[in-house]
Amino acid sequence: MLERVSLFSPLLPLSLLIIISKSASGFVWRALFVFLGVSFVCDYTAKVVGLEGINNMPVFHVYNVLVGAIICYYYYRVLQLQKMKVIIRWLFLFFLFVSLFEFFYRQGYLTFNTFAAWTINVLTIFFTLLWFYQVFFSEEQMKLTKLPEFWVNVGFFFYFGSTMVLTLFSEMILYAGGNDELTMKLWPIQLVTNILFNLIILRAVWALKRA
Amino acid sequence: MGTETGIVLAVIAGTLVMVLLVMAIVVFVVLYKRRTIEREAQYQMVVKKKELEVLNAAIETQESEREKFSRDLHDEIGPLMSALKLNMTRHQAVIKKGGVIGKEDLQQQRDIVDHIVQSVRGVAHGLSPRFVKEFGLLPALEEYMKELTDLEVTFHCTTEMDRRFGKDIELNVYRIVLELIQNIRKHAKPSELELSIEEDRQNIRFCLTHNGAGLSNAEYAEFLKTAKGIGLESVRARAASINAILDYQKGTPSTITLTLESTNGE
Repeated sequence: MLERVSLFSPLLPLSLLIIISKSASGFVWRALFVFLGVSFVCDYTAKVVGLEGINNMPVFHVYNVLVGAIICYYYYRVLQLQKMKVIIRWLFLFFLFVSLFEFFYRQGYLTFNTFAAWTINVLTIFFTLLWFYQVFFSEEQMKLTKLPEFWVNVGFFFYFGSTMVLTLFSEMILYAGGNDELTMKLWPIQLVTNILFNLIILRAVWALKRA
Repeated sequence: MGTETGIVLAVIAGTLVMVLLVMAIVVFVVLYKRRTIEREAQYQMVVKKKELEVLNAAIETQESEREKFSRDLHDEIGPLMSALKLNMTRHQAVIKKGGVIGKEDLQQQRDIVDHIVQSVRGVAHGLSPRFVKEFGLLPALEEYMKELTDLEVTFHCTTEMDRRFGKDIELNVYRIVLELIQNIRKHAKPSELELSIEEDRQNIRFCLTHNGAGLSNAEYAEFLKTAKGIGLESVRARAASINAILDYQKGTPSTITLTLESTNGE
């Protein structure tokens, strides 16, 4: 049940995005639409492929690269700090290199892409912290809760922060001699995180509608 | 410790981490709100300080104008009235002695009265320029320029003469231009004076050009610090109150330009 709710949870903000498409078709709208669309399609594909008994890890590899690209582009546009655009470009190239290296050599495409997932988690948290820093020291006074970017940032910070810690615990369990079956017991937390993330994004879309 | 216990601990730790992340966001929002309140308070302080400055400038202007009118009454009308009184006393004595007052004496008396009327008109004009209120700034300036008979004056205006500005703008510009002309006459001692008014899409410029001893922006700034009773401070305060810019250029000829936005005060 929880798995189904989590799988279909992106449809909620996605539907609202489609409803408000006429009035709020700016950059944030496009970024969220692509992000949620990619998330849903990849999760659904992975689920269907998994039910067919086929290894669905390649889907997660592809998903990770696409999400990484969207996030890097989003912060490339949103962060106005000096020299940040150049740094983001280099960080994205680094992430791409890690993803491809893991896909083809290190673990292979049939194993979970631990290192690439970790990289994008760390990068996203780094970007969200930079965004908070930028807003905190900005001369402009803003009502935070009315900013769609604020909710997007909160969502990313919460989701990728939690995912990073959960991935770390999974690795620790495996390292301590546990197996994949045991690590799957952490999965409900990941599902709850995903549902909460999509609810926060729904709030971002609502803020976008009101903006 | 078994692996199952480890997982339970991991789940608890994972939940705690999520709670911590949420707490971090809440702390950020609280800090941000506190900062916003502090900034708002600072902004309000700046606004109050600015208001106080404007108020002080207004009071200073009022005081310097009172001084000026008192000086006008004392220096111009006072001596004329004294002269008139002296003449009348002399004539009274002549009449008492059975003498006759000559035509020339009466003419002299009449001249003094004429001077007094002219001076009173000048002071009244300075106190409340009715002409500006009734006919507008540009005709009032043109009229004032016509009164300067001791100089070779030129009035040049590219905009419509019936163009009206806001009440404050018209009064302030009128007083600034008058004060500047008086200063030029008193200190620069020119023989020619031109007032040209030009307007484009953005600005309207009131430019006084004369062939007397001019003043540069640096000298003007220095005068502002040291000069007493010249009226430069009141000119500066008035210009600041209507967001106008004063530019002093020394040369042959020298110019003083007052520039303000075309839409200002409309």
